[in-house]
Amino acid sequence: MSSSYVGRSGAVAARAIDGQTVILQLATSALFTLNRVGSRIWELADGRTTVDQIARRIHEEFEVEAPVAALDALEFVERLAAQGVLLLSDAPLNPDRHSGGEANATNPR
Amino acid sequence: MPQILDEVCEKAARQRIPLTVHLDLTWRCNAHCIHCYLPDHGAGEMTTAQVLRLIEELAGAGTLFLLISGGEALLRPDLFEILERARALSFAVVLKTNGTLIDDHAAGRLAGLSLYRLDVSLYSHRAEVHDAITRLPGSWQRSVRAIQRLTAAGLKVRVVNVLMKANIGDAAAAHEFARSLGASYTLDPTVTPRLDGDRTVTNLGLDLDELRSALSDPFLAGVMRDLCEAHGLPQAVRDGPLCSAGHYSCYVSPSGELFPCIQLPLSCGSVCEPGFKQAWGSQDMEAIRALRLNDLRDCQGCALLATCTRCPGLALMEGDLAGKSTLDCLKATALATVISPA
Repeated sequence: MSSSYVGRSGAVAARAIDGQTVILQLATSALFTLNRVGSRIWELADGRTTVDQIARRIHEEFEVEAPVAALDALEFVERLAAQGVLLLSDAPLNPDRHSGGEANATNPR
Repeated sequence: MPQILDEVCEKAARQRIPLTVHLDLTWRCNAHCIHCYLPDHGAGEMTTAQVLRLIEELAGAGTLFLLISGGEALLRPDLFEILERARALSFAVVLKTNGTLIDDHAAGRLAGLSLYRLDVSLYSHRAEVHDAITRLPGSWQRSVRAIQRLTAAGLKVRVVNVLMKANIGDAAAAHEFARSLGASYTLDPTVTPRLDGDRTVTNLGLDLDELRSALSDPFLAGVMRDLCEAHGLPQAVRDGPLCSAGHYSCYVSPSGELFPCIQLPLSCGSVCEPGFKQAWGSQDMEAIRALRLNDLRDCQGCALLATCTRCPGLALMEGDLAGKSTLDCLKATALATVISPA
């Protein structure tokens, strides 16, 4: 799972507001707010970056111990992927397409 | 979601972030609704480039919810280009339309854009009542067909109705009809004066007895109660903003004028020149932001505050921003006799 590529679902609306990211899942109207670290993971989830690579960036940018960053990043990504907000794939994803949901993913997990 | 949304709205208001923007793209419409708030001949429309620049600026300013309307927005040949750009910029886009121009092809294109919702105007479950309001023969049939196409394509559709003398008897059946089409529904008993200040359209709205009668519909009573609750407790309101207008929401006319709200026709400058940021931060907008209940002379000590939706824009259109809005007084009086105070 840590080698999976992470992308943003096209079925959401999102905006950075005062250090947070606000994400609206369009189909369900569920609203999520991400803190600074979560917002950075959201930015990094461009479909060409893996969970491992994201964890490394979090480790470097937020002075989080590498094993902790790895676990936290994986848990965060899996949780949002379960909600359909992030997409996980064995292969790079087409970034920021807006056809929505798992249709963006190849071999979605 | 409501609690998170409330927190986001509060933060946006504190930070002067235009979280919600209503953008009308055109004055033109193929219908001629008797109650329309737009003047017949508005002055100019923003070009495609100006609209695209505006929505880029809005994305940077923190706008998340973008309501696109008109006139009839589908009359703009560049509508899909604008919608595609808005989605690429990750807005939650609501498109408000009369639906009459949405064929299978258009419904398919809209479905591919992951819009948040389609709002379709429908004033009755009866074609003759709806068509008499739109003054466009056959419009009911076309709008209903559009709703069916859109829901079949997987889009969320909300039927938007305005309660007037012309359709007062149809409110409950219209709600049921919307449900049968797979759409959600909203109903507003406010006929908004025209943007150019012409108030004659408000004569189409309900009088006190008609409002009281209409409020026997639990759905409408619930909508109105929610609106009152959104205004908070009277004491809190005295020290807080009167409404979202200018705090975290605003309206942009087809020609690019910025207003605090569609119901508050106080131009705060052009979003084209010098730009949205300057108009949003203008002195006129700041004056609206500074308004508090304590500033509304005629409302001090009013026993109807708990059932009042106090719209400063409606008051302005009666001549005084800090005066009474008789339309709201009417609604508050009717509500007070029907529902328990918030």
